[in-house]
Amino acid sequence: MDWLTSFAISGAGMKVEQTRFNVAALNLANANAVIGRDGAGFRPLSVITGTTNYSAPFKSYMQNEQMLASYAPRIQGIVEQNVSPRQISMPGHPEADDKGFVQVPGVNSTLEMLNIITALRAYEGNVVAMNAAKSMAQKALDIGS
Amino acid sequence: MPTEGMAIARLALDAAMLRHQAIASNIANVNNPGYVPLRVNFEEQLASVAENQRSGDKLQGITPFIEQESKSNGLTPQVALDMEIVKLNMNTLHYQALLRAISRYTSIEGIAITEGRR
Amino acid sequence: MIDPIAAYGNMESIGNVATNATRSTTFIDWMGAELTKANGAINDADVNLKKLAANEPVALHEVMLSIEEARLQFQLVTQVRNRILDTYQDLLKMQI
Repeated sequence: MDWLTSFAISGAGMKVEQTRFNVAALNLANANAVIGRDGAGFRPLSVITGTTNYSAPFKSYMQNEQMLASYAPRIQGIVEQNVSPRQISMPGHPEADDKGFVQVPGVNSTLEMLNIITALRAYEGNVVAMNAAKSMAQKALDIGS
Repeated sequence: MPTEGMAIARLALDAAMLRHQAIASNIANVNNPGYVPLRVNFEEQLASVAENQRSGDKLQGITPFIEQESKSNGLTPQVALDMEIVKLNMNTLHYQALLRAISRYTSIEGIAITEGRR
Repeated sequence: MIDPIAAYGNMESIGNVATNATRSTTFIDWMGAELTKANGAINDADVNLKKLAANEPVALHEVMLSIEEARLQFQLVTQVRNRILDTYQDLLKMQI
């Protein structure tokens, strides 16, 4: 049953990285989505992750399980980034202001690409960890033969 | 058949399984700021028991457990994905080696049981 | 015509071959030596297993080979013992 903990940990990591990836992809997709003059539109998002900090005064076997469960990463929230929209010159656009500028979300494309790559590498790491857990458990099944 | 090797090897198997979970947790939290990497405390407990006393009740008190990595040079430790993968490979191989060695070692006694007739 | 046995050579020289100091003496001594070797091999395997478990520097192939060596030694001793017992049983069954 202990291998279940390993799979759960790696699975939680994969879920977090996938969310991070999705948010970055969403930001990139909306990089040029025009924001209306009334301010209705997309704002770039970012992911906040965290764990529950665990302090154990003594050690026992059950403490290990609880400690690991509390350290599993989880998404604590998806919030808007603190960036102001950029201005693009599009004089004929219906949403343009009197100077001919439209507002688009202030998506930092380089940062979002970096987030994508980071999420991808971390996801691969979690996959490797899960495969290692699987192979170890399978080898344990071979005892005696 | 001497049994101290078997007892220590079984503890080492427990430690290796726990170590895998600590490494998996570190990898899962690689992009999580403020997360302190985990490790397993086992070899230190073995080292504290003198080598010629590693048997019987002295081994009873040894339990592998998970703890946070301590600060080195005053810096909080961070998760490095490449080092975690290296540790993962080492630990996996160590676990498989222990399994195989224990399996072969116990089968020696099996010879006495099955082939020693009369 | 049957020759007397004494004409066929010196009996003492045959006895000398059996007690020649360069040969191993008796089968029981050989068996005892093999048992000691098997015991030593099993102890070596146990020591190597301890080292592997404590993460001390020991080569993985060294551990596996010492376990296999112990296994083979023990199998040898067991098989020889079985053969001896078989022979003994056969002897017991012989009609006088």
